[in-house]
Amino acid sequence: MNNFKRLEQENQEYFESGPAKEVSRGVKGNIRIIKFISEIFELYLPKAIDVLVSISGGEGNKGGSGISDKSISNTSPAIDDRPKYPNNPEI
Amino acid sequence: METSLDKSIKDLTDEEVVSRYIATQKMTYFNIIYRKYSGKIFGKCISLLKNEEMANDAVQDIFMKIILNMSKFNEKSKFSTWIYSITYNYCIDVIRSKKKLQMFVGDGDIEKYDKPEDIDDAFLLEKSVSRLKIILNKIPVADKAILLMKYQDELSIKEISQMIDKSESAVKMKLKRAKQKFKNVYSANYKD
Repeated sequence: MNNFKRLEQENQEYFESGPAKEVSRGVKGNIRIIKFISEIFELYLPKAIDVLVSISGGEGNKGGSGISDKSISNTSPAIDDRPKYPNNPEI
Repeated sequence: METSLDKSIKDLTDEEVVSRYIATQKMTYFNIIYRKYSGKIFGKCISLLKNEEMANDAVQDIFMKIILNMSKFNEKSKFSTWIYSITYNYCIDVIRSKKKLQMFVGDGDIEKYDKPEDIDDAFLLEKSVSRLKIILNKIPVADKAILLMKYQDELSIKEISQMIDKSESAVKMKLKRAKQKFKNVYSANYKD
């Protein structure tokens, strides 16, 4: 072992306890906050993008929930134009 | 009582712990890294920053950098080398930003040495621990850091070049200059 390594060892022995316990708590607290924020993003970011897209006039991702009645009426206006009760005579 | 799981975790290499942490995000793996390296990082921070409070803050910031950049660790170097490179670079940045770069004998005369002489490693290695400590505290932090990387962490020129993002020839020159500064400060302080 050279004297540079002895110097390192001496430093470590002098500060035997290592960094303060608050450091460990601080790091772990920060990690939890980062995890929480990333989970929030993971959960809500796609939905937020959908909302923005629909606000701007586009069609957001419906999340594979199937085609709704509204989407049918939007995509095929001809169906809506048909009379509700075709047997009733038009006045 | 140790379970077989505990034993297997303890047997993991640093690189395995890192890849498991990235995959699972479990604090168990982070704790292993923290327990193993926090003392060493703290020792290096104390040595470079010379202030316990600053060293504590530095350890916290360095571990956050490690966590946030862990996915970028590419296993080209050892994990310890990667961690120490973050530590050295962080400490150097802190000192530079606080303008605590302490110059030494002759107000920067040594900066004028364009062609540093070849100084044998033995010149540094044979110095006593107490004198090493004094001289290392009198040379600029960047020179101190490169000497510590070479003689304390026993890193190769290639590893140092990866750590400080310089070419190998630039590292050799920096090392030469650092040794020159060490010798000049030593000669100014001791007659033997």
